[in-house]
Amino acid sequence: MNPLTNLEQILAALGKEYRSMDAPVSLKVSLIEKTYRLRKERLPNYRWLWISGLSFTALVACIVAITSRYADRPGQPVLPSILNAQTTPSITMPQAPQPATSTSTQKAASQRVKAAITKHKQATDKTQPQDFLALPSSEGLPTPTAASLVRLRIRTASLQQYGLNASPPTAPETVLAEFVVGEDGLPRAIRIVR
Amino acid sequence: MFELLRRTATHPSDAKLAQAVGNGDGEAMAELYRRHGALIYRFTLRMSQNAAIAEEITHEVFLALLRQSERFDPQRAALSTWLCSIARRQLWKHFERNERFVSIESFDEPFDMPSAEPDPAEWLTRKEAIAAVREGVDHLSLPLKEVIILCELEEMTYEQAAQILAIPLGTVRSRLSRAKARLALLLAGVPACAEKEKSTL
Repeated sequence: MNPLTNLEQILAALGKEYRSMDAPVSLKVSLIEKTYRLRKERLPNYRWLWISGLSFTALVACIVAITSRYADRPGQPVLPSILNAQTTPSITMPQAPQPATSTSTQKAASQRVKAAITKHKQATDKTQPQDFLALPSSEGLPTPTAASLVRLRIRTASLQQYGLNASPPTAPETVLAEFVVGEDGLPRAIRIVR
Repeated sequence: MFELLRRTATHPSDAKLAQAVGNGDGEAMAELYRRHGALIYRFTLRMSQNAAIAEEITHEVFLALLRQSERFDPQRAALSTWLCSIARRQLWKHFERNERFVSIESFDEPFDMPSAEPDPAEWLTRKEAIAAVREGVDHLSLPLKEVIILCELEEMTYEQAAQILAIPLGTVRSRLSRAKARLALLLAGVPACAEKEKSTL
């Protein structure tokens, strides 16, 4: 018989015997244990992922909250520009003498206010019949951070209580006026509508 | 159709199991070890002829699967081929460390008969012939031995062996041919063997 043919048969028999051999079970147990240990080692990574995700979400929420707080709020009146200029104007203020208690600081403030009003008047449309006038009675009050616009019909004579000088012979008995009222409830400016 | 779906569900592919192992699935590791552990162990045992080394390398191969499962590409090779190539690399590293490296240039060195039996006629019964070939395989040079183990004992295709050994297909064929020729020397010129084979057949 050809030795190579014989060899093929012997190799086939050897292979059969060889392939009946199994791997040791002890290795299997060790590998399974190490696989589960790997999963445990990787768990903290997932935890950090969650923590960083939550932190990012919280940061975005904070930014949105802060932005919405400082954004313009619909439904609330926007301060007229005359008030934004930190003025307490008195255009038709009677020529009453300044109170004795007024200090040099108040005078300086008054001058600044007048300058601001002049500047504002130049800037605004001159065709506009009537603009807001700062009430003399509001002089010395703090500048409001928020204000409301109140429209009402008022007796002309009542304007005097706000420090305005109405001419009794020519003025109508009542006028439609808009008041800018600060958050403290005190009027700051007036505009005669009709 | 339903049988195919059921089999797919109950027998996930090697690629899916390898992916699950990477995610820390112990059951997947157990299943892959059941499928391929024996192949790796047998190959390393036959090559090293040392059970402790075979166990150590088999362990390292599956740990490599655990740590680098994402490097396995099912499009390029079967998992068994990939694992075997890792095992081979580990083996050769081990041989180099222990200076058991046998160079390819030593192929044509004279081949010693594995047995010191004086009379070949008495030497070979079929059982003894198997034992002689087994011993002959153990005494082959490492490059020839790994080809014989993969192609003959594990019955892998030449293509699979070429992938594992990272050599061309032609080299696999030529090495296998040389290995068989050397093993055949054990049986050639021994009439008793042929006569006894005839009687058994």
